[in-house]
Amino acid sequence: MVTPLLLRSSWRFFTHHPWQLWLTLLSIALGTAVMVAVDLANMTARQSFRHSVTLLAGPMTHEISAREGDIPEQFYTRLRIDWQLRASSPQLVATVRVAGLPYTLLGVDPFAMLFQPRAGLDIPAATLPRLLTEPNSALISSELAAREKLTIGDRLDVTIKQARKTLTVVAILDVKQDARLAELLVTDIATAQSLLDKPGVLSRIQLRLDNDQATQLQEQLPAELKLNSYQSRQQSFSQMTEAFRINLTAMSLLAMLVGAFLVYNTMTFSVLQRRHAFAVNRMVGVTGTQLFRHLLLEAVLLGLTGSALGIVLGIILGQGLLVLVTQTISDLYVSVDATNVLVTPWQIMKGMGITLLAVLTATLAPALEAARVPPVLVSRASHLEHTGKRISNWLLLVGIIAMAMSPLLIGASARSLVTGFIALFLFIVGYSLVVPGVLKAILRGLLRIPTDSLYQRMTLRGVQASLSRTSLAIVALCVAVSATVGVSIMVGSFRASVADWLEDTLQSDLYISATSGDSHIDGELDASWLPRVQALPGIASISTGRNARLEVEGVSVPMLVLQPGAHSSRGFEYLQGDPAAVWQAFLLEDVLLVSEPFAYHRGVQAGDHLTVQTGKAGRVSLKIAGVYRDYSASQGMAVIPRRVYDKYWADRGITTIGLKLVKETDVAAVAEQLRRWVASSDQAVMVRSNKTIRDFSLQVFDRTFAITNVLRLLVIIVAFVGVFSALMALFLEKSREYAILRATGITPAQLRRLVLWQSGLIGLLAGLLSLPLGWIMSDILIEVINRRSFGWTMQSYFFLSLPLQALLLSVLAALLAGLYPTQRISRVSLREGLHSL
Amino acid sequence: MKLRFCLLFGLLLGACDKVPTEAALDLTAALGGQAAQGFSRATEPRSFRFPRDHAAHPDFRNEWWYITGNLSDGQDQRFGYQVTLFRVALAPQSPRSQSHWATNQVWMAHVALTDVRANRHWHDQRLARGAVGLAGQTAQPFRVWLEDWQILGTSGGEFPWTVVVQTEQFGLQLQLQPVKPVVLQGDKGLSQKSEQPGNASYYYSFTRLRTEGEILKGDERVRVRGWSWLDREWSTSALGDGQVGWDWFSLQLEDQHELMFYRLRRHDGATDRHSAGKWILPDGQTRSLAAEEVNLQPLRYWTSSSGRRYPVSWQVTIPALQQQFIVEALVADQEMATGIYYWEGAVQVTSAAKGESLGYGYLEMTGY
Repeated sequence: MVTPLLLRSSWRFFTHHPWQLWLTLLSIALGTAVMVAVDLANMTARQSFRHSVTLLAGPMTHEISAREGDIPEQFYTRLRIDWQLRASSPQLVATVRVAGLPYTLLGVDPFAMLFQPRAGLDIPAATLPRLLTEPNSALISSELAAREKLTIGDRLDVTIKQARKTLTVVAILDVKQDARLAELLVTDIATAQSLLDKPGVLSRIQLRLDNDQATQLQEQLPAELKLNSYQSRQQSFSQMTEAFRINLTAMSLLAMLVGAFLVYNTMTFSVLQRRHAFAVNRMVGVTGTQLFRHLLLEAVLLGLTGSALGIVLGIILGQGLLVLVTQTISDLYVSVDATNVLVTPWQIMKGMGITLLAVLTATLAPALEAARVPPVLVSRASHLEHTGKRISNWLLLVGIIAMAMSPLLIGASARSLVTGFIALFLFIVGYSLVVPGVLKAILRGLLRIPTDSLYQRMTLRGVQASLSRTSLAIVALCVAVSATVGVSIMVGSFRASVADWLEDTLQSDLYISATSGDSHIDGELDASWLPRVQALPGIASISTGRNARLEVEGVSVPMLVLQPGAHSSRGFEYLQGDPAAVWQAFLLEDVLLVSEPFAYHRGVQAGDHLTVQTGKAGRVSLKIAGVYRDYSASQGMAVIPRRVYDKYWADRGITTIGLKLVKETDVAAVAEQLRRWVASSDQAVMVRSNKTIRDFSLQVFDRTFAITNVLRLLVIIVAFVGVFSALMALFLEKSREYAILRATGITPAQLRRLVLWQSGLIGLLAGLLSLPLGWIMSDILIEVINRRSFGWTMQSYFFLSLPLQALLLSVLAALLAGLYPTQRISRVSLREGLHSL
Repeated sequence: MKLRFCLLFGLLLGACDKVPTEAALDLTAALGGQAAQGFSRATEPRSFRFPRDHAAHPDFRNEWWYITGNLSDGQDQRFGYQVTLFRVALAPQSPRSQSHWATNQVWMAHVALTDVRANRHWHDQRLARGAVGLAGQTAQPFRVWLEDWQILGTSGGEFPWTVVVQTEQFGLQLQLQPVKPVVLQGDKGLSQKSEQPGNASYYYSFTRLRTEGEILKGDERVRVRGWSWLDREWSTSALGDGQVGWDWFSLQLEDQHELMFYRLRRHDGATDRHSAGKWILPDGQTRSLAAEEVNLQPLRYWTSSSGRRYPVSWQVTIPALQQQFIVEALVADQEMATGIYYWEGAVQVTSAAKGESLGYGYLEMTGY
């Protein structure tokens, strides 16, 4: 099927144009790499979370915990013996500190899961007697043992609730299987109860249940306890992070799209370059079908090689991205911890598959074109260029239709994020199809401007003449630059909105907060703090906050229990409801406030009622007094008045105290006083000014978008490589033309200038054309993608520096691409250049 | 009943060095091994008092309630069962702690049911600490339990006892009433384990307990009656070296005689001279049997899926009593695949001369 003749001709072509081969491979590889890297990082982060859930859960499927506080231990005996739920394991958990670092003290009953399918934690049998009978005996991780230089029998000091206790190491757990074990100190449950001074209670009971058992247990369970499945925890993680992962995937697909444009460009170009060879082939009897198949085979080989390279690159890149992805997920959602990307054959196949598909699709048109043309015409570039012109008119129409479809699609797809992205991509593709036509029109327009400059004419004509070979490279550059413009505007607007919001929200001058190493439970400020703070001079008003979680219709969201001070009312910007009325209700009625993402995700508004699970009174219906702007919790949160909380919950703790100072009070002096108190107390407490918190929050914001910036950069690199290769191939092909110009008296310096002007013009055009696309992209990102991902709205901001950066970027990319050919031109002798004539 | 010592040590303390080591044994073997200092020891005969001595003796390191029996539905169904609760003290004293979970007492239970007609043997095991109601024992009312597996007596601590066990495969609900007086094993209940004083246990048996009740097989309830055997033993000391395992017989003959005999096997296959037994007459009188008075001859072997080759048919000859019978497993596969592998199962006793059935019993074989 494949003729050796064609294979040899391909081989000769690519060995004679090594730069072109390598750059083609590189742009394929980079596109694949970005896509694979994002996929790997995403999956590893998810796996890591799943793993952290299953590690300690082991074969367990569910967990019982108390709605507030702990579980009375008698309940466990009843559960295990009377209710016959023997696949159950009681645990007492707390965060303790070893040499200042947080560790999880896990008290277990080693007998609970014996003779049952393997439990998550493997306690060496030989340690059981010591674990049970020796006071304060514990198992530690090999990591901790190595760091603290401990062996079996050694003593280990830990800090538990400000008290120093000494443990005896009876065994060392090998943490090679899982890094999460590294943060565990395992003891018998009796030891844990006694160390934590919590006799008679358990933190949780893990269970292995089938669906019927779970349903039955749910019905039997006392009201103060709750049953959760680990599967639902995994699902909620997937749901929570879905928007984030889709955003990343979309960015990586954009890199692929840019890559595909470039492959199309390269393949078209390589067909053009080889028209003589193909014509000869056809004349010696090669059929059009054979030629078509051959070009596809060539594309497959390029695709395979490029994607193989891309996967290797992608794994390395994915390792880097993983750090950013886990950082962002930990900042935004829950703590995940992954150090190495997981590579599965499926992901490799997926990466290669998508790349091959993109490369084949991109090759289809030029290959068909080359195969369809009669032998005599193949040799004439003009035919291809003519066809190109005919097609470009047609493409213009398709492009306009696609762009018009995009807003319709957005309008029709209520909240679907994926459809939002499809609409975005539709717009980008549509715009790209229109770009070649617009380019031509612009050049025609420019040529009409009367000028005396020969260079100017030559530059414009040169660019115009080469459009069939470069327009797609221009499109690719244009898409890449517009992506950077669009994303920058979005991130910039977002950041500015967050900064404004922080300014409004942080009404207190100083904040005192209890910290806790355990992310699940927020610290509790010692009761002595409030009276002490109240006695301070220069305090205008005081507010207190309690960070807790609220179960609303089966879903748990963060909740702030607020005891407002006189200054607190200004801390909320309401998106719904009259501010004065909302605040009045908050002060007097059984109401709550919900954040904008909460309202968006749940489809609720001010005036609606929500059924919440309370600690003391079971389910209670509370009215939503207002919806306020909030960028802190993407899944939404609620603010509940302290008065209402105290009525329905037993907890009286506070996490934060906010201080508004009288105008003339020296903030630094008060902060200093507070810090002195902190230093003299044992509790981990932070004193921060509103500025510190604002700076820190913006820092977290920037960290969150670090990955976006990296991806944006990667898209640019892919485009840059593509443009570089396209322009270089173009200029190299024109070497004969340049030789003729040289022969007619143009000096090498003049020629260099001409080429640089031409490439600069190409860059400028791409840059200019990227601006409207970037602008519209930012709008879709802000109004559609961000809203659908996180449920928040924001102000659009204009940044003058962005279009300038974009222009600079594309001109620079194009100029760099022109550099090598111009160097070559001046080196090549005239005779050599003319030789091919 | 020295044998049971080794079994328990094998299971819990890893003291029988030649007991086959399973991966799972790792766990149970680890439960102990500390010196016996601080525990009470059996140094001289004691006066047994009942019901007091049915209850636990937590100052000794080990103790067990070992019930086996042969039951039938009066027609064509015949069953064997085993219900054993082991108590092990990990240390002489309970740790001082404000936690209710803190204890030095650990409990283990092995249960089994043999369905002869179906040629099936099911077994299960559990382990729990003697705290927060998970396992333990009380004297009055008499109760020994591990979770919901339990042996219950009257409020005064007397017989009848009720055995209640439910596993995933089977359930037992049986009433036990002795028809013969207690048998004090060894020297008035002091069972010497080796030359060394204190290396002994306190050991008594009820060799004939009338048994009635129900067996559950899946959803099927079968009313059964028959005879059970109870062994009670507590001690602190371990066995000496040199033994690889044992073969223990508890046989209940239809003519109201019972035989208890254990043979300890040494490395070289010889019978250890500490092997011993008792022949119990219908009126409850007993005659001690020394190692050399009983001749055991394996007749047939069965190899388990774990690769162990157990003799499942024996010829037992006691010349001094002019007795010779064949002891044959009712089901070949009655291997207990627990923390340690052993064979414990229902057997039938037939006359070696005429072949007629003489009775039923239990056979325990370890170290194969």
